[in-house]
Amino acid sequence: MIEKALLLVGSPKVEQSTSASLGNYLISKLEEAGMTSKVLLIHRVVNREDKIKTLLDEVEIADLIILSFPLYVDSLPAPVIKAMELIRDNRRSLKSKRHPNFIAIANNGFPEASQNNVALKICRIFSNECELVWKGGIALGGGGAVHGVPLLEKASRFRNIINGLDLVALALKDDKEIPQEAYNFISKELIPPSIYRFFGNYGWRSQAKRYGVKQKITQKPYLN
Amino acid sequence: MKVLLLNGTFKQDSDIDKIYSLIVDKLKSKGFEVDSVLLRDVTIAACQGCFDCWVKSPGECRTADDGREIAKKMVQSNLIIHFTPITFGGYSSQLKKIIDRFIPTILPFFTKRERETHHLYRYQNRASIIAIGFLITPDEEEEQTFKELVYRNSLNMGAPIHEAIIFSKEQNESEFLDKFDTILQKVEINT
Repeated sequence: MIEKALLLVGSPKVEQSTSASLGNYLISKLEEAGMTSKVLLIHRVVNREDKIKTLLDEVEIADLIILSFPLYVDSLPAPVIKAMELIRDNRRSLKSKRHPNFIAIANNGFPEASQNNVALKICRIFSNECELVWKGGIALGGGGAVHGVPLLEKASRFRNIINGLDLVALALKDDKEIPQEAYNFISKELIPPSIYRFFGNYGWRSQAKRYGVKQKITQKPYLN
Repeated sequence: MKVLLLNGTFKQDSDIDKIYSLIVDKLKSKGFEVDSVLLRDVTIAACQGCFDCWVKSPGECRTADDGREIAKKMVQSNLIIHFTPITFGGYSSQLKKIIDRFIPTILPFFTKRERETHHLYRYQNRASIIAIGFLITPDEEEEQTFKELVYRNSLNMGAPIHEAIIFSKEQNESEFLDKFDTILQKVEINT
């Protein structure tokens, strides 16, 4: 029986992150299905001894663990890897342990969701090493478009993500693997990559202008 | 040739200290200028994902710690060596904390490369990457994932040469060193 869900948010932007938006929506659907939930923000946990104990304890009582994180240089952010190392070491030391389900939700700032694939492989290997039950990973490209906004606030814009996460919730409550259809929904491009690049570049210039550094945006301070 | 050697091991990884010493000796015997950083002994804050290094203080992280200095050394090197216990097919958290802080060395602007969106490079001269990963026992899935990660890093950071070398306890040291030497020669030719 899948009763307790644990959401681990792996973004330094914590509650305001796209990782939290995706994870919180999924949690809300699981709660509708009768699960209870707990949310931990990894960046507020991994450098504090008392909080680390909470993390390790929560992992051991969960029936389902959801790791939602942004892609950092082709992989997971360093504090998330640290949390994974701590969980692995703790589980290795336990004489008997439960085997909760585990899924990963990756998002990145490029339009192609497939750029998350290596990070999802890392999550799957972690799951196997920790003797968790891998139920699959999902990947979102163009995560900046969500920008930490609760998905239902822009439901029509994010309908593919919502449809995909609804399918993920349905599968998880029945103890099933994430279906390919859910992956396909979530990984659909929000806008064509060429348009994403054009408006993205315009956005970076606008931000630099706002901070008075438009002419310096390509400067090379680490040369000397 | 300037080499930045990033050691992402933990205290309990003493099994691989010997191979690390052999790597340093090999680099020095070739007359390279070697800067070796034991990452667990330096202060590197986690990247905050704020993008200040792109739009507020272009090219420079706002956090003034060892991470900023190591990123600077990276820019001025011809070769970076990632030395790490392979962790779930990727880098250890010790190594990853500095990799995350290399973001200021690329530009925010997007371009298309290898049929994907990536960032433009900030610096014309960029370092090659050799990633050396240790596995207690060989594992096909972890090895493949590690190689893919190194390839993707090279794509994003613009490394002219990239190679992943995996070694395990069962492996012969001289075989490893021969392979390492061959790769070093390739990097030298391209530098």
